Amino acid sequence: MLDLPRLRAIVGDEHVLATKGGTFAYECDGLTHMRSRPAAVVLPNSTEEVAAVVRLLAAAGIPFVARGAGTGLSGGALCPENGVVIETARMNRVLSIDAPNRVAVVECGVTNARVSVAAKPHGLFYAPDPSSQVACTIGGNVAENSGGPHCFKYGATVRHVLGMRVVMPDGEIVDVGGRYGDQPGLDLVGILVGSEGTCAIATEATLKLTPVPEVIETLLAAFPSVEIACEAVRRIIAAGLEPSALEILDKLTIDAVEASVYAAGYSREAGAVLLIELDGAAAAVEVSAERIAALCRELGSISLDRARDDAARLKLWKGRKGAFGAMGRLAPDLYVQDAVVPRSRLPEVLKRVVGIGRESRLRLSNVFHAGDGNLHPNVSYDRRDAEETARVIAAGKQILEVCVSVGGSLSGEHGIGVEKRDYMPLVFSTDDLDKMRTVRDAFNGAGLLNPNKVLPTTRCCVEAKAGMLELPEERS
Amino acid sequence: MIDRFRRVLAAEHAFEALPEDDLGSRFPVPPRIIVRPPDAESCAAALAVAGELRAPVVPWGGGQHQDHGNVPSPVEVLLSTSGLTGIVEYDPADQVIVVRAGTRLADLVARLRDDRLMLPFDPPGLARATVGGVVAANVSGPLRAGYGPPRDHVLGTRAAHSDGKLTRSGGRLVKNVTGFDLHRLYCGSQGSLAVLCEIALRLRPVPEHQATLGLVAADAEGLDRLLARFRACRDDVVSVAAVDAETLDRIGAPRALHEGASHALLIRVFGLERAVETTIARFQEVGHAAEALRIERIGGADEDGIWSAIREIRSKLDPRGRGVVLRLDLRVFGGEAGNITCDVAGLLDAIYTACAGEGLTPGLHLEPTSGVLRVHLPTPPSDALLRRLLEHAEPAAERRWTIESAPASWRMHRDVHCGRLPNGAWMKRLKRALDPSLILSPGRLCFGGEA
Repeated sequence: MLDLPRLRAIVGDEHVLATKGGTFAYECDGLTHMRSRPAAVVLPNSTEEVAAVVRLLAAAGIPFVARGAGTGLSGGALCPENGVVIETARMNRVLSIDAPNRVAVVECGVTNARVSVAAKPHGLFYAPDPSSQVACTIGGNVAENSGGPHCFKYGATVRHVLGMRVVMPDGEIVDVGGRYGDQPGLDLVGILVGSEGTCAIATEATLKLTPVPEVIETLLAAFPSVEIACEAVRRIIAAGLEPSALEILDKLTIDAVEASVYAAGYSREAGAVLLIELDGAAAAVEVSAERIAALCRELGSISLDRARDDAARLKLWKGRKGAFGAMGRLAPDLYVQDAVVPRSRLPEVLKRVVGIGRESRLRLSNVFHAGDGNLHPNVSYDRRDAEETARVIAAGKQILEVCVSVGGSLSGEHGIGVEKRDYMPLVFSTDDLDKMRTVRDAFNGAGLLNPNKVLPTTRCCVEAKAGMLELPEERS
Repeated sequence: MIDRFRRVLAAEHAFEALPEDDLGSRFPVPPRIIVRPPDAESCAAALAVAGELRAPVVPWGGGQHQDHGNVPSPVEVLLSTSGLTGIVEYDPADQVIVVRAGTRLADLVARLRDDRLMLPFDPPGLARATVGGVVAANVSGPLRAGYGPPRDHVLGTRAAHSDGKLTRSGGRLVKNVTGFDLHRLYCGSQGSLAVLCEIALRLRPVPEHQATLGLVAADAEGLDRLLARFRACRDDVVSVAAVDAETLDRIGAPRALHEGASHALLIRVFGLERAVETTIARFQEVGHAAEALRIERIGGADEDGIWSAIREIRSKLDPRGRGVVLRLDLRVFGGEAGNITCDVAGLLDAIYTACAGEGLTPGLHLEPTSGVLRVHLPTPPSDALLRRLLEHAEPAAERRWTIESAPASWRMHRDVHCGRLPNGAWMKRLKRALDPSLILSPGRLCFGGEA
């Protein structure tokens, strides 16, 4: 039985939401086509309060899910109807910045962007930059091992988390990792980051900060086709020029962007535009930018713009940043797929993805982190139209199958959550999944923390083998 | 017992250990059986047999890092990965390679050079170490400052388990968040969770240009000044090492780096030529500002020579492996009263004096960016000296000692974590989850226990 008075006693009356109106906003995260309204939402203010809430829920056998800003795109923060959401919004303090050692300690409800804001006076920043960085929290980033355009150079979240304070599913408070030197024994930070909130709840994180680069230069090259843009990416990387970001927008995206308020002046003749960002010491950026510009011209770029000051750079990024918004204005809902393939397979995969969109009669366009082989096909649709929604989901699955068939995988940065849980057998064998389950159960033996995520049920594995894979049923 | 293994492995892949295998010097109780599976499937099959027999197994690559971690409790089977070699998948354009775990690093480095690619890690023992051994030990060399430890470059693994299963984790993609990253747990697990059979690694292009600078300090305070100025400089380095002058002399560094000096701070930069030269000029400024005794550009053969000597510092100082390497993880920067370093010079002096009191000359090697100090002792220290050194590690000082490597006969009576392995209970729990029969290097993670 959910004991609301005791929950209120732990976190304070006003920090427990249990009315229909109060829990309404928690019935989904960024994956809007899957919904389930929790029995209650609690907003603790400290690690100790999280631990007390967890102990209470664990003793009562009630499932619980930690939630940051709810920007996740794989349904990772979706909570069962009899469960409780533990929201970290009040735990939003930057606890310390140790500038000489380039380390920040923050509570996990701090937004990603705020870490960089706090570090800026020290000439430092926090490198992982998921698109939702203004809203998303460090706790959510830790759960999903979030990436972002610049993780091509800097690596995803796991490379920037030195240590964490976590609450285990039985309420024990544990410090993992550290701050200085090498951590002895097993890499608990490494296994917990990216475990999608199914092994422990992070409440504090010790983060690695990076010096703000001396110079940032953005180049925008328009190419006649996506294939040529991909070739440019291949050559830039092979030449060891190490840009910090490499982003491609395809023709349909350019058209949508240019028809919207996000219009960035991208060439309408272009089949694709490639955004390249370089950062670092002035001389390094200068030499690399010259080489990249020459390389783009050699490949027949239609136009090439370069910018160094912030305003001009933002103008070049405007279309990329507004791409999902521009696509979103075409219909009430936007479905953003996330998959990864070996970089060299990008051109052929993109062709097949575009084909799937056409055959499914969907408005599908492509924006992707080309350096990482991370695709984001996105579809504007109306979720109230059940038939169209079914086509969107079916196309999403076909895209994943294409990616997996060339050695790719199900997710580059959004996570598996519930969205792709039942596709896991496309990539992993029953034995692989069993070992993952064993490790999750070592942390979360009772299965109350964020249940039914990441790993399919045994039944699904059997069905996948028999070719009867179905998406989890939509709940609304 | 050998017959049981020969049911799953051909006779030439499972045999009794012979005296000439010289396992006695590496194990207090040498393993009696050596298995050398020719492929991942037979590796898993052999482990299944060991699991059924509850016969403890130690996985063995190049034998270069076996003296890391606690000494496993008596082991019956040595599982050599020398039959698991070669490239499984490789596309230079993707800068990703999948190799079998027993592949020697040196062979891989040579193969990659043809495509102007490199491994972004360079552990000690490079000539004989295997990919699997290096990943399992997660040992780093001088490239760590720029690229991070080996675990940052492992994209996925195929591993054999003590229940006979063969499983994958991760993939061969530079960006991937599909499933739980068990491969991260295997990195640094020292063969206690599973036997690595295949490993996918991210590669990097060979830099177009590189340069090395030695900033020489006349005394310990000079080193502190150099470290403080170094930290204030934002330029990227791939390697940085502070080494005492006597050690530099003993490992064959150019005379200009150590003559009349106390320490030298060595810095290496990779990149495009003009950029590298600009960065080097800035570090020369660092040297001037910190009043360095000398500022030496190390070029040509000396450059590769000095970094390989630093990488192989232990074998250079202690070719017969009789000594001990102690590691101190510490806070290097952010000292009191506006000083940017935490009196590293004072700490190094104290360590030096304590060792000298026992007639031992320590080799001191600090990587300031990671905060790892290695103290190389030519022979094992007395318990009194060890206690005195441990006094320099207080939680308040944010320092922790580890015995990084030492002869088995000395290590077997000591906890290499000096009683301060954090979260040992959680590590044991993971060990039990992945190796329920507790046969893989038992006792290596947690001293005196089954994990």
